[in-house]
Amino acid sequence: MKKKSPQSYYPPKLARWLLERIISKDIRDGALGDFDEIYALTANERNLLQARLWYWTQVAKSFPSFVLDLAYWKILLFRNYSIIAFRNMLKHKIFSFINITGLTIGLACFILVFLFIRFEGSYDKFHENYKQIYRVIKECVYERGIEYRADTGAPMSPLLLENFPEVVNAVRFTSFFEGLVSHNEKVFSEERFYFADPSVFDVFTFPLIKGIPEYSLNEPFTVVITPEIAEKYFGDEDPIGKVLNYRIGFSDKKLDLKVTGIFKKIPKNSHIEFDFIASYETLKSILSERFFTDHWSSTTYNYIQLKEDSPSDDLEKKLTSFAEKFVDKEEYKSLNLKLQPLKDIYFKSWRIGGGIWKKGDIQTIYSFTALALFILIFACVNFINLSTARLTYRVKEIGLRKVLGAQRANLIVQFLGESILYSLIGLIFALFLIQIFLPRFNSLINTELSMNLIDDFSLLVILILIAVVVGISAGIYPSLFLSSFHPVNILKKTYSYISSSIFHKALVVFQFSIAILLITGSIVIYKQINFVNNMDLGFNKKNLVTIPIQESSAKDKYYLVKHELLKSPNILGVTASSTITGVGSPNAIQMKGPGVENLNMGIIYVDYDYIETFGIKVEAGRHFESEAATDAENAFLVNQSFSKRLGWDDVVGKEIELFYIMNNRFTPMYDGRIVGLLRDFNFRTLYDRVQPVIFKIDPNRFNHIFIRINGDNIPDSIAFIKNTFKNLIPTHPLQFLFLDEMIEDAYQSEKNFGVILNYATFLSILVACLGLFGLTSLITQQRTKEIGIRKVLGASVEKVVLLLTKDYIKLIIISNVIAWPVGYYFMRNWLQSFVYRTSLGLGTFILIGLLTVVIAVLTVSFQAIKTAVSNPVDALQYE
Amino acid sequence: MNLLSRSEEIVLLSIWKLKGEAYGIAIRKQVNEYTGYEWSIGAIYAPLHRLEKKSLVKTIKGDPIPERGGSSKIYYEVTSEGKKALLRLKEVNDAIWRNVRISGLEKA
Repeated sequence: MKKKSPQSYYPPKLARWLLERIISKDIRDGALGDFDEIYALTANERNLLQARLWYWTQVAKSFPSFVLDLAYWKILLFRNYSIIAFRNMLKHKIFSFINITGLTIGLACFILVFLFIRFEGSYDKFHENYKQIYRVIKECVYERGIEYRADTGAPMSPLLLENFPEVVNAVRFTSFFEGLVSHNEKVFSEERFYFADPSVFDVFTFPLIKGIPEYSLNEPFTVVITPEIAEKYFGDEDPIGKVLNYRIGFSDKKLDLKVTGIFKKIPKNSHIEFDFIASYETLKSILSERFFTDHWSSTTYNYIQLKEDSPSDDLEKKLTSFAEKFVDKEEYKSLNLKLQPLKDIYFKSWRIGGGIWKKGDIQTIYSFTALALFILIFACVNFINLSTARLTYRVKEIGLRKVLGAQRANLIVQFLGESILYSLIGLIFALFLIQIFLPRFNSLINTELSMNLIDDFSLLVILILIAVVVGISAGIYPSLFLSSFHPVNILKKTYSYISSSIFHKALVVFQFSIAILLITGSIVIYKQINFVNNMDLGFNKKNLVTIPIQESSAKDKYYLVKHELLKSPNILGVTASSTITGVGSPNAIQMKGPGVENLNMGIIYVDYDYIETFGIKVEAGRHFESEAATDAENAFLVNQSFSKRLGWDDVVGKEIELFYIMNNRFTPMYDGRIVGLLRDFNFRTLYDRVQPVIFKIDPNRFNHIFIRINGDNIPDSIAFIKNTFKNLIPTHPLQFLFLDEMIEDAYQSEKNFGVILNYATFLSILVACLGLFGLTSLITQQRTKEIGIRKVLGASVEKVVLLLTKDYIKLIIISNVIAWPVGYYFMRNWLQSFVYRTSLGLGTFILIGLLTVVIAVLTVSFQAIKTAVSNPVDALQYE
Repeated sequence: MNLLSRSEEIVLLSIWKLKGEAYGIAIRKQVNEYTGYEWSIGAIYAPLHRLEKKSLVKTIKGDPIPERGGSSKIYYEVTSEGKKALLRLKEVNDAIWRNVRISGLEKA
């Protein structure tokens, strides 16, 4: 090969640098030089550009094989890591079991809460236009403060549509609360019945299954319903064109509504809930014009849809002057209209009254997240504790790997990989657990969570990511720690590390402090619920059947029904009231009396024998008597709080006057004499203190019938009541509820939270104890020789057990000391929300302390006893 | 002893033929001439490396040369093992080509 005045050409630096790295080590020396030579040759014989092009092509061509080569070695290493990981997993079964169980439980709880948060966050976002939809709310400024309300009246929407071009669409929902719906003999009381504008199906994404969205609600006397309702009233028949009869509230207004459409059941993540939507035109034909022009505070909710790029702030500013036109200066100091974005309604409505539909509770999310995180952290703590305490089992492998050239980074990757592997195995079990427990969780918190990993691939990715993050969090400390030893020290066995270090103890104390907090929470909530259920409410709540009056005919025929019912020996008493005793609120009224003017007062309307039927004590005077002809007209009973409030010592005999002031008009209601003083009883829930209240007979205002039955013969009594109702008022729906159950239901949310807290507490203790068990097993095993020597020197089994357990008992006692004040603080705050609350004495805490010590001793002593009774010869013979 | 692959055989033979001049580029040129198409440098070095691992060839490091960016040529030399292998290959090749009629093949 001859070269004419060869010029030196060097290939591009970057390309050469790359090639140097890409070319496999074995042939680098020769090949790299060859590339350079050919480059120089090409540059000399042809031109530089071609040479460069050629060189770069070579780099590009070598790249794929380089990557494959790299992957090949990584896979080999990875295979080795996996084999070692699985071998370790199988060799140390207890360790693997504890870690995988902990991670499974932790991940299951966390994923459950994740699904819950995802569900709560998805509220109202299924509407296509949700970003442009706003609810109109009013900010009422009173002398006493500001109040936000969602009921903004029927005139609102049309006025907004008319006056503001950026409002492209609007819907009103008007509710009359309960009403009776009937078709032939089927009669039910329905709460989720609303009147709405036809635009409801344009603004919101509530798809119609049958019927035409634009026309279904155009005509008066039309209604659209859910498939469930259709089945309830019409069975298998085609509901379209059929007629439902609707009776508004307690009035006698009856409407025949033609079914013109079926809409898909409202999903649970909608704050708006309804089963029936009747056309707004219907209302126009039955209500006076005033309702649609002047009545600003009817229970009507207004939702508007803005133009796509129109900011709500601008409209809100304009609404300020708009609102002044109709503000009632007598009632408010001022009134502003606000726009609440649809996506915010579920979570940001806790201050808004005139309440409608569902409100979310951010507190629930916080507490669930905290509980799940605790359990998950416990699992990670177990992993950290056990991995580091298990150092002696891994130390030779680590030393050998280091001697063979493993960098610290390699070891960290290996150990992190192992923790991620544990976490992923945990994830698989967790997914099974969730499938099993999801329905139970759903029924406890009333949601529709679902986990469909096949349809929802992104969820699977998220869950795997969660598991990886958990694996890394659990593994990062152990991997840094385990990889930190110098190989020489390891192989010479001169590394110094005490297994039961402060670090492990601190983590155990951390776990048990939180576990004790959770136990405190569970016990206090349990005590409170029990306290509430067993508290003497001042009346006898047992064996009382409650029937809501849902029809004026039932009100008319009440005395007839009562008379018939009392014929049975099993019926011990029949009475009626305006509220459900023990749960309901009194009505408001104003009072005048000796020395008092215009005092706001609560009033409960009751029947003659209310006091006897409920077993309420009369402190002074008498109760209502049907023989006293004037009692129905001008007799009042009051409670002790009433006499205390007014400072009247001899309340019986005082004359009072009751009235309303509405729109500055004085409307007298009743006047008469107080004939009796009742001992205070809890007519409302125990969230509220007993308030001053007046009792008055007024059959027109009865809403609930109470029947005291013989506790020995409940089925017969119920059957008898049913028959009597059927015979006398066949159109009345039969809804039977026992008063004590209704009162218990009032505390359902506390109860459900208590159940969830119980689960969380149980799981956290389980995980913490598993960790403690693993840790003590490891440490006890490491002390086998020491114990052997102690036994040889004459230590008794009891002494050895004590030696091995006392450290941990100390830790549990420290945890108790840390957790008690915190638990006391939190639970006292929680109990503060109840007026009537259980005590939070030292006894509870001592009980918790003993409980945890016993649990810990049981956990620890298993291994301790096993070691203590073993033959010292076995421990010492290998050296 | 196992037989070599075809590429190994060609590369080994080229080294033998090149005697003392057998380094990457020279080998590649020779092989290109024999086979009639361009071998990439990698395609030469892969069999070379295998031959070296089987100790059929050994490497001798030459002096650094400026055209090669200051790096040395790596010369390859057939070892006695390699010579045996070549002989064996020839035997096999001769054996399998014995009595093969060429006349029929050309028509295909």
